[in-house]
Amino acid sequence: MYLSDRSTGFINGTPFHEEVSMFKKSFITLLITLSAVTSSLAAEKFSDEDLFNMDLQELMKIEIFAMGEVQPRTTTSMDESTRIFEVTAQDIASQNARTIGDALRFVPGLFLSRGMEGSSAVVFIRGAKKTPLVMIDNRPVAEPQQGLVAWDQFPIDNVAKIKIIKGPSSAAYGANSLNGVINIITKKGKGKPNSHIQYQESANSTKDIWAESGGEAGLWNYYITASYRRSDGFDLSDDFHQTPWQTSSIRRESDYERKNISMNLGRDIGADSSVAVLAGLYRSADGIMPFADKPTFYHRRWQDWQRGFLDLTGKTILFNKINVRGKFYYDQFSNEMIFFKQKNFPEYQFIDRISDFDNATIGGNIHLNWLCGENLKMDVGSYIKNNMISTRLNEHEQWQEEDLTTIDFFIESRWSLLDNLDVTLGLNYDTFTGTEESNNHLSSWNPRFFIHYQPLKKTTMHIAYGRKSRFPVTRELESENGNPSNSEVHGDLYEIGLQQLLWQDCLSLGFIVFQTNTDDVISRDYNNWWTTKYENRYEQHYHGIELSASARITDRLNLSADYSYTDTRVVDDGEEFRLNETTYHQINGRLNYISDFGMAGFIQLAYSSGLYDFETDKDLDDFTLINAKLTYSYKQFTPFLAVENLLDENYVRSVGYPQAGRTFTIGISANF
Amino acid sequence: MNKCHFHNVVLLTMAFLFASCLNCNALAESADEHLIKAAMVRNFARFMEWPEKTITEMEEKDLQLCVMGDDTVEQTFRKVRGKKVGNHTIVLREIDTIGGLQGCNLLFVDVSAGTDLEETLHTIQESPVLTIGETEEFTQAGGIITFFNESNRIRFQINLKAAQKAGLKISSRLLQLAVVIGQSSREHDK
Repeated sequence: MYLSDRSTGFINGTPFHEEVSMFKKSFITLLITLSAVTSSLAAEKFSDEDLFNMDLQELMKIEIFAMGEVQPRTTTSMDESTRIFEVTAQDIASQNARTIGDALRFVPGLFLSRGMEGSSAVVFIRGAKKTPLVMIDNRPVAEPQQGLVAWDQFPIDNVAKIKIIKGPSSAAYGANSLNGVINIITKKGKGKPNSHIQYQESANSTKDIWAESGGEAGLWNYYITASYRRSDGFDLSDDFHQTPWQTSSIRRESDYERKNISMNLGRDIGADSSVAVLAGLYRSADGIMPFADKPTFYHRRWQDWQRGFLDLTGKTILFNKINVRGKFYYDQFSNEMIFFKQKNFPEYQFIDRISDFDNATIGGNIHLNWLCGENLKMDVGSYIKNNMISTRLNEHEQWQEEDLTTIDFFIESRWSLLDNLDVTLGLNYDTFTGTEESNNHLSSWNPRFFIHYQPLKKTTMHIAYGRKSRFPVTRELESENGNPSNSEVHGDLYEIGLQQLLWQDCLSLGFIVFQTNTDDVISRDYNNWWTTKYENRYEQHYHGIELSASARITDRLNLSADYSYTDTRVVDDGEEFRLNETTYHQINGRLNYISDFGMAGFIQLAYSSGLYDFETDKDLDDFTLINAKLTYSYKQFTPFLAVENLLDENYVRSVGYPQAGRTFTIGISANF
Repeated sequence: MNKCHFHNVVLLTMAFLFASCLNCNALAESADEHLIKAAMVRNFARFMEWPEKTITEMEEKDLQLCVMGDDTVEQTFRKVRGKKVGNHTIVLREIDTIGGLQGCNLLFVDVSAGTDLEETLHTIQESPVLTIGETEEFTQAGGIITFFNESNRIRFQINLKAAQKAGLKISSRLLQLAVVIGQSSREHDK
């Protein structure tokens, strides 16, 4: 309109040169006004330098942000500006979680199911039907053959915090973060030495005994924990209708026996440096749940799952300016899977074969960060890991050896452009080298940016974009259905978020809208599943929203709730369809109450709907779960009673895998 | 209304809204709590008199400011690094464990540190360390200065007895601004 009018020499009937003049005047007015208003206010604004030049009396006059308020200038990376969902040690105790999988069940936008994919549990974030990047103390822990994580085999005993980053995360997490990041941080000894022991019991001889001890002694600090957990399996809901493949009320092959021990020994060296050794040994024997509504081709068990690791970590400050953290680790695990024939169904008595999978990972990473002046923070670093995999399909076959190397370099900088505006730019360069046989050599550049803005004292906004990738796992490259020419999967992730504090900061509201477009997703042909090789086949688009609210009603009563909606679509050969286990509405609510006489209560409500069954093209039934825990502390003892699935809901999270019915647990813990 | 004026009014309004948004923090004269505390900690050092031996050590090793807290707190306090107190440059040390407290001249213990206060203060008992905390329990446990909020502004309390025990002399100018506890009756008489 403007251009066409301009060609005639008139704008809305006014001669063009006059209108240009008017526009110029207006524009200049705008600039002058902006400058005037901004500079007049800037005189009242406190930069870091202003604050450090003030005397005490002046500092005491400044109004502070209230407790709990979002403070953009204190952010240290892209992640700390985005909405990270954290599961703390307190949440873990409140939920009575016994495995890392348990602790993740009710995270908004995260899907956890037990019994599918040949694993005891799987986790997908925001509709991405692949395991996210999972790290324990910055050590990637997914097995490289299928990319799965042993959610229920990793103990929860030593976990201090679990961070779940769903959107465009910081570059500082390294390669393979396309499907989200779960960063598990373990405990270390602090303060006066103390110990904790806990015992709990529920139906079907499910028993847990767990002990931990930690503290400081001079320059040393230590933390050690051990646990033994076993179960004959979980009960299904009374509403479950038995099938020829699930004839008992106890879910078939949901039994387990787990033994874990881990430690963290640290020492301060001088004023700014410290080193630590982390080590652990986990052993487990688990059933792998078969379909409950149809026959399973094979019946399988992990009869001897073992994992041992040794981490050496250190940190120091160089030139009084650069913070350096480094790690070197060795992580070994072996997994013996026993296959039974279908003879004498349903009693699988005849061993068909035992397959072995061994993996040794040697790796390290280094991370440097420093402040360049007042307003610019830099992060650079690198991850490197080498997986040596040995597999054999049965005891009569030769071992197949594979050797994979993944290297990542990252750089990220954050500018505080204004007191309430931060901009972050990041870049990863990842490389992947596969086996000699396949001669895979893949590389990927992944940029990202992030803007964090605080327009009002109690309002924060962020806009983020990240390009990410995932390299193929060995099953996609080298298995019977593998394809050595598969390349990495790419995705573009977008996220916009808003957070608002209300009512004297007692109520916090969050809103996020996200869109992810992935390309070259590796899959087999859905219509020809058993014969086709894995290929970089299709596009996957998922979008959704996440709403959250948390309220501190009183000092002793907290309420929080969240809603998430995820819709995932796949486009394959021009045909669009939905994916199993990825399209759903999820609502969670939590209530925590701590009395002044030692009693504490926790209630959790979770509602899900819209889970989808690809085969029948129907939504699965909605379900509502209520969990609760009641504790009473008397001196150093705390007995407790917990219930999961109070309503005894008969539900599945993926077709054919019914989950646990109502389960009561009693226990006691003691601190010394 | 003249078209030009109309445009100007619209633009002026937009400019005002934009500038207001960018600067509403400034209008409230507010700032990050930990940043103010970091600036105040530096000011405290100006009003302290350490024993002669400690001052000699500072000449060699500069002024050691130790911080116990989470990453966010440590990140904020990094802005104090390199600043001067008299002739001494501030060296920041982020402390994870009690074992790392040796050699500190100032110690700030944030509530996020999750440390055992009594254990921490016991470790540096009777050492010339200016200890600064954030809770009432901090001075009760033997800490020297603790911050508190009053009408959304930061105030501080000084435990004079604890300062004397640590061998630190506090300027009367600082005491005038503080809520002082642990005074002897003779000092009250003054």
